[in-house]
Amino acid sequence: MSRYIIRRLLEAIPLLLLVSIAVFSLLQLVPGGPMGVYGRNPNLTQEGLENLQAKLGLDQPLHIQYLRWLEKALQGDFGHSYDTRRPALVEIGDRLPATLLLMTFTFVIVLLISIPAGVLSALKQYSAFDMVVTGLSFAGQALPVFWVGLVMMLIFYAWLKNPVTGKGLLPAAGMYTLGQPFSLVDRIKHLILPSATLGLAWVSWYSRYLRSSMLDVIHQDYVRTARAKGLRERVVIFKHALKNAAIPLVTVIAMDLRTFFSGSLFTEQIFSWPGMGRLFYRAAERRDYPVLMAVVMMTAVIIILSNLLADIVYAYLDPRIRYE
Amino acid sequence: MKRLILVANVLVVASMLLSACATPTPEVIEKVITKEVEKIVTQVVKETVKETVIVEGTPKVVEKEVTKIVEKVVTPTPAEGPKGGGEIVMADMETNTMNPYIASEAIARGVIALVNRGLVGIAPDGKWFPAMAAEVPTIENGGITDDGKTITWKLRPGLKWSDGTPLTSDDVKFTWEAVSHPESTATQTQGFYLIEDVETPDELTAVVHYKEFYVAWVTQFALGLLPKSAGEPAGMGEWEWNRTSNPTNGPFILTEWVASDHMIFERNPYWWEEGKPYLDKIYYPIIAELETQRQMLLAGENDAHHWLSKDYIQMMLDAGMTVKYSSSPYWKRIQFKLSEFGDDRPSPPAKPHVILGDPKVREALTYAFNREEICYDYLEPIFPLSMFFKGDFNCEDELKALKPHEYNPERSMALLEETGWKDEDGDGVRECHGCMYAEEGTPMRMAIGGFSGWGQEDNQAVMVENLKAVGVDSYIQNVEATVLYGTYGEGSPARRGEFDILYWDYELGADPHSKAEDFYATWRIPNAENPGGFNCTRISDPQIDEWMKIAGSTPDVATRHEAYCNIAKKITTEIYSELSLGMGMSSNASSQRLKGWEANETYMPFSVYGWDAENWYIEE
Amino acid sequence: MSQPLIAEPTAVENHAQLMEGRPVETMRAIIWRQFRRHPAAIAASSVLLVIVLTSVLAQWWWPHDPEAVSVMNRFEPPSLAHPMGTDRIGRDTLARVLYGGRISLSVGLLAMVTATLIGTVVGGVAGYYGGIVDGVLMRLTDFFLCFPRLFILILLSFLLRETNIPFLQGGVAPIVLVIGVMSWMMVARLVRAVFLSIKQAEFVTAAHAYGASDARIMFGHILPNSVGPIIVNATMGIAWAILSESGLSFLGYGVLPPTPSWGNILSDAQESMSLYPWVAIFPGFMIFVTVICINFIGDALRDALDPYKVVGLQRGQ
Repeated sequence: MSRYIIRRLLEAIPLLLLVSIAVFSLLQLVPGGPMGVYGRNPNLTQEGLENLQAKLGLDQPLHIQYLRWLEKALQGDFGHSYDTRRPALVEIGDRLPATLLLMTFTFVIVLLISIPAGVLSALKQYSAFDMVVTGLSFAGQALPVFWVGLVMMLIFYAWLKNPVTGKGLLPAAGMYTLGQPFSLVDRIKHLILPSATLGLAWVSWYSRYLRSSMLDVIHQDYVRTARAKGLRERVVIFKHALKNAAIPLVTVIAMDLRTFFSGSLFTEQIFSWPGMGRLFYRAAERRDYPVLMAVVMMTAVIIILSNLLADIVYAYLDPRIRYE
Repeated sequence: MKRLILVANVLVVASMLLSACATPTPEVIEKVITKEVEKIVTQVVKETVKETVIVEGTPKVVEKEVTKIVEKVVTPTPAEGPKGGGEIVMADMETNTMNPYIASEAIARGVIALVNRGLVGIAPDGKWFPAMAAEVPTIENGGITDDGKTITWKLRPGLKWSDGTPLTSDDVKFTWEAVSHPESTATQTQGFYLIEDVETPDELTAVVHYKEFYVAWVTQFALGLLPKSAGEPAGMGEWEWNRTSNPTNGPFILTEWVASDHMIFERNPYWWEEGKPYLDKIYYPIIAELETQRQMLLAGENDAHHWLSKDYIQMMLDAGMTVKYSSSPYWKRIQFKLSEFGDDRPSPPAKPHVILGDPKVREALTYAFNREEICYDYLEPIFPLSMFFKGDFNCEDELKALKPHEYNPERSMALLEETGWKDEDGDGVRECHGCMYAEEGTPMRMAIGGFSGWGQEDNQAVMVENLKAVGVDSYIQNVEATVLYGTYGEGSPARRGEFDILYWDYELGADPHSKAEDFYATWRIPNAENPGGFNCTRISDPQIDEWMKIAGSTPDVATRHEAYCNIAKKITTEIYSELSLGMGMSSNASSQRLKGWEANETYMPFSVYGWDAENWYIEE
Repeated sequence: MSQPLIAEPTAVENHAQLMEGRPVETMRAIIWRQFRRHPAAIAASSVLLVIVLTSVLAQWWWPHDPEAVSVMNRFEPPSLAHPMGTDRIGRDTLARVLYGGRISLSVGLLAMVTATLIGTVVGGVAGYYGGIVDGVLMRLTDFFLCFPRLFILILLSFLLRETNIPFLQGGVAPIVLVIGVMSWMMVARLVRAVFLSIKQAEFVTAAHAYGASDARIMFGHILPNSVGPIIVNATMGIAWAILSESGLSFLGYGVLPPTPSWGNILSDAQESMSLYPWVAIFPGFMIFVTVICINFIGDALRDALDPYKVVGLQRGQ
């Protein structure tokens, strides 16, 4: 196993290099460029534009630009944002904690809800409980995130009012109330709506996957064997069935780990959460290449690591799985 | 007897005179008692009160009271008087920097106006007023020489940066050095490269020498002033000052900025106007979504909203908000490509556009568009016929008298018949039957280029319908806004001439000249060697070029007016290369308690919503 | 006893059935009978059928043109003439929803099929062969995962616009390609995980022993046993594709107006949602209903195709 892990880590290096070349080329091929944001500016002069391009190194041939980027990136310097002129890593560092907070908070709640829901739903297939859970999970996946967010904001902020303050029941924007000292309650209140918006689809997906794979597993012979051996139901479920049923869920969670880093644009946009999703979208609009490359490369590392982690977990969950 | 009467008269007169001399005149000794009264005024008023008392035989002592009113500086205490201080919340979008010469977007310039002011500002009526400068230079006051190449700016005395250091002409000079430095990454550079030198004969005077006459000289330092303590010109891109604005010269200072989350502004104690700003603090949560901003305003958690769209005005008024309008600077136009699609040269030498190359076709199409419907999302749109319609260069009435550009689809169809584009196969779309440039049978089908988002497609959908009604088939072909307005090198279809009909808008600056050149002059046609410029329709008319040169070479308003009006007339009534659609009114809303603000977005980038932040106050 | 293969009736069992007088059932019949036991799925299928038919046949039964602009009648509330009201420039919302349905449904279906096909092949081959093949294919999967979807979409839209094929110009092909090509990775990993587990099973060893080819083993034996997660993923994939398209329209990149799609009608509507809620409710409702129906059908299919259930049925359970 450890050989496998080392091999995977070594494979990651050329992969990351390829990704960087491919994404760099993609950004250049796409129409538009970093000077586009200045196009509507009546005060821009051609000379000023050319000076700016020279300073940012945009007048160099493409392969030189890439090599310079690579050279600095390997030393940990991802350049300066074309938009704000601050270091790209600082821009990321400003927003990453907010995204991590929202994602972790949501993720924990999602797991706490979806695992029991999925398992029980499978065990009690076709019962009323199952019908309700299945129905809700279908509904949860059937609505676009931005729509859910707006509706939640309208309901809980615009229509429902806090009887004491007269303001909205739950806050609609930001991480905390300005001008007030730190308050845990305040922070949690600000987390509720974005978390609910984000988590709705998440809970639905996870409980569906879990239910489906539990159903696959509990009909299998070894589960019946375990029951026949006289093991308690709880042991049968958690020790035998759930471990195998978890495999698809692990796959899905591993895929979702990258969003801990890259954030969710719609939720952040609607609830003005100062996170990575907005940063990426803003950088994409403005073709802010340094920030884009930095975000993509960091996300790539996370993706590679999380898939490796998933593979390791598979081997732990299902001893039949073996890697050469 | 007569001699007796004469002697008697003399005796009487003499005795009267003697008695007059004999009676001592009361001696008046003035004793001045000065009383000092404190009054918070900026004017000095003198009042005197006199009282005389006459005492028999002794010299009178008269007390003359003189009241002198002495000027005293008093720190404004918000509780006093009708104008209240306090804190407001202004929720708006994110700015990329606080440096006015790097800022790219409208939102940035609005926020920067809270903390940084330039030498002059522009009011909603289009008049320049002095801000950091003591007065606007004119020929009369000697501020500007006859040839227009030397401008003398005088600063107000006693100006200070927010750290207490004095603001002097050195800072004006430094602003020029930083912005014009090739490595500074400055983008608001209009005119700075034309400055030869800035002299600073004394602390309050900056004399700007231009290499050549710059028609918009008054705007030169209007965006803001940079303090010399900010850093080196070459490193302006990386200044810490761009994030902190410390020190600055505006009514407020930036005390906190959490990226993408919020900013906090507090009163600048060194702001030059006594008693202002009234507000203590402005909280600025960064809210990206307009709906959220609106809901916060309605919920009482936001005091100012700047992007009010037409649909929401009634809702805001019903909720008791204050709504104010100003003319927006965005000028929407439909433009026709004169040379072939995709060819970035004018015609000649390029081939004329197969459909639009015929001026009669263009004329016909200008009658096909229903401006009111296309600009349905504009509140009370103004339909100027040319960009030369503001202030001193207004020739709208002359143009209107020539009756161009009405909505008249019948006229449009009649003209189209005459041009040889007829629908003979009954499919509703005209084909070429004896038209000027296209091959026989070519369908009349064109692409409407524009940018996606911001509701543009809806306006374009109306255009498509308008064209369908006169037998022209069209489809929408949009790109992202940053691509359309981007550079030639980055693939902007407008600059490269890759369009048939172009639908877009542009901000008009305070002075029209540089944009006029960009739009209509031959030397501003973008191509690979000369990528700047916005002459996307590829107009190349020697007469227009001539007028353009005249207008750009003199400060004389009358000459410029005539030149611009000639250009406008020719384009509107002969060339028909574009159809002016409209300029909207832009509206802003605020909560009831926020007062003292005026909408001022007519002359972007110089007029922005933070322009009068020092006048804002709260009245519950 | 080793686990049965996909439960094809063996000769012995067929004979037994014949002897007992029961008709021999084909796989298809068994699956269909199993499916019919889910009343929700039957109802869902009918609803879906109605939606598909009304959309496809829209120009024959609904008179309004989805692109007919009438600025004077903007934002009219639902009425007899316009049962779903009108939008920002007076276009009939019902017409747009019907025509938009065609696009959204085809985007959903095509994208899902693309993603599922690619993903199953890649994941299956990787999981089955393991070793270097697995390594290369999984690194390829990782590679694709690292790409920002948005840019691929912009690039594809740009490239495809140069070709003058009207269908492609409407902007549907880039969306389908992007959503399809960027979603197969999930399917691949899911399928690979299942293949990794199952390939060690005894029946696979048995199949090797009697000389079945790799392809037959992969697609004839292992795949049917892993059909559960694939189906679940496929049905969710349609939902996800429709919603993705909606999200991309919200950002301004989806199906380009004036061509309607549920996604871009919804994203246009969200701007005025608090003023004129019906504009957002109807397309949202259509997406909601369609996705739920697809999910019900998928769930029933999953049950119906469950080989253990089928076997159980055969054995009289």
